Amino acid sequence: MELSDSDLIARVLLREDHHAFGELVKRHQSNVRALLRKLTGGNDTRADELAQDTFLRAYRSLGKFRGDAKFSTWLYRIAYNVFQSDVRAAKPSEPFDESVHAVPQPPATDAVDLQEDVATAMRALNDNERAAITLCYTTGMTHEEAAEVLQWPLGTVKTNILTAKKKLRRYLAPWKDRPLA
Amino acid sequence: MNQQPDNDWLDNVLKDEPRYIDDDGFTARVLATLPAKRQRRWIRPVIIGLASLAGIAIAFSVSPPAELVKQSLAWTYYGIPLVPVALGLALLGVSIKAATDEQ
Repeated sequence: MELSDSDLIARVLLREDHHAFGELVKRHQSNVRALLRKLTGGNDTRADELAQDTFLRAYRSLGKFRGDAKFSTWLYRIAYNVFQSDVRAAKPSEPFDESVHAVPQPPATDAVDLQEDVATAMRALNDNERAAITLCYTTGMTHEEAAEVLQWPLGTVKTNILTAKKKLRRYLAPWKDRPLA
Repeated sequence: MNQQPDNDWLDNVLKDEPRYIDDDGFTARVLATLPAKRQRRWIRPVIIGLASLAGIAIAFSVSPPAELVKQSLAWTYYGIPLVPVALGLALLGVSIKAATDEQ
């Protein structure tokens, strides 16, 4: 019988059970790493380091998890905080150069090419816009859930999504009249 | 103007299928960084040991000891009965070892 997240958390808290925590990591690693890969603009190595830090922080503060939100939402919030700390500690990233990252004219209706262009366009967004779009579209969260993870007012989430979509619409315009695979 | 179909198109593009990322040793790396378990469970072997000693004491007090036991009880060092103390210490040691190995 598969134990629920709550059961595993209880085991970790009561017995410092590393196996139980390992099971939690196995269950959620893909989503947390995917979120961080998007937030870092596709830097898989950095994303995985941040994901590792996320789970370590989660382990240390598991006693503070009250269960009023889903465990995954709580993890996403830690992941976002870890990402934010890393951004603050890092040097400011180079400004996006549209001439370098210009979205090419779509040569074919290839979904892979489209996703590559979406990834490139996502890098054009600022960190806040990328975070809002990623949470609401990649993880499928509602605006309210995203606001909880980001610890922003709901209006800020909506504003960032609107501005992000405006930019993305412009960058991805060449794909608009092509049928999606 | 024509904002809704524009939004639908972009929404469809952004809602890409989530792809599962293989663990590929990630969980093992996380577990390797976890802090070691705190060594605060010394109380368990102590309780087991004390309970064992109490059991021995009760057994000696309620059953008529055999001659050998009588003699061994007579071996003392400055008034300390050697055999019961040695047995008690040995049992305590075994209990502690068993309890700590289990963790």
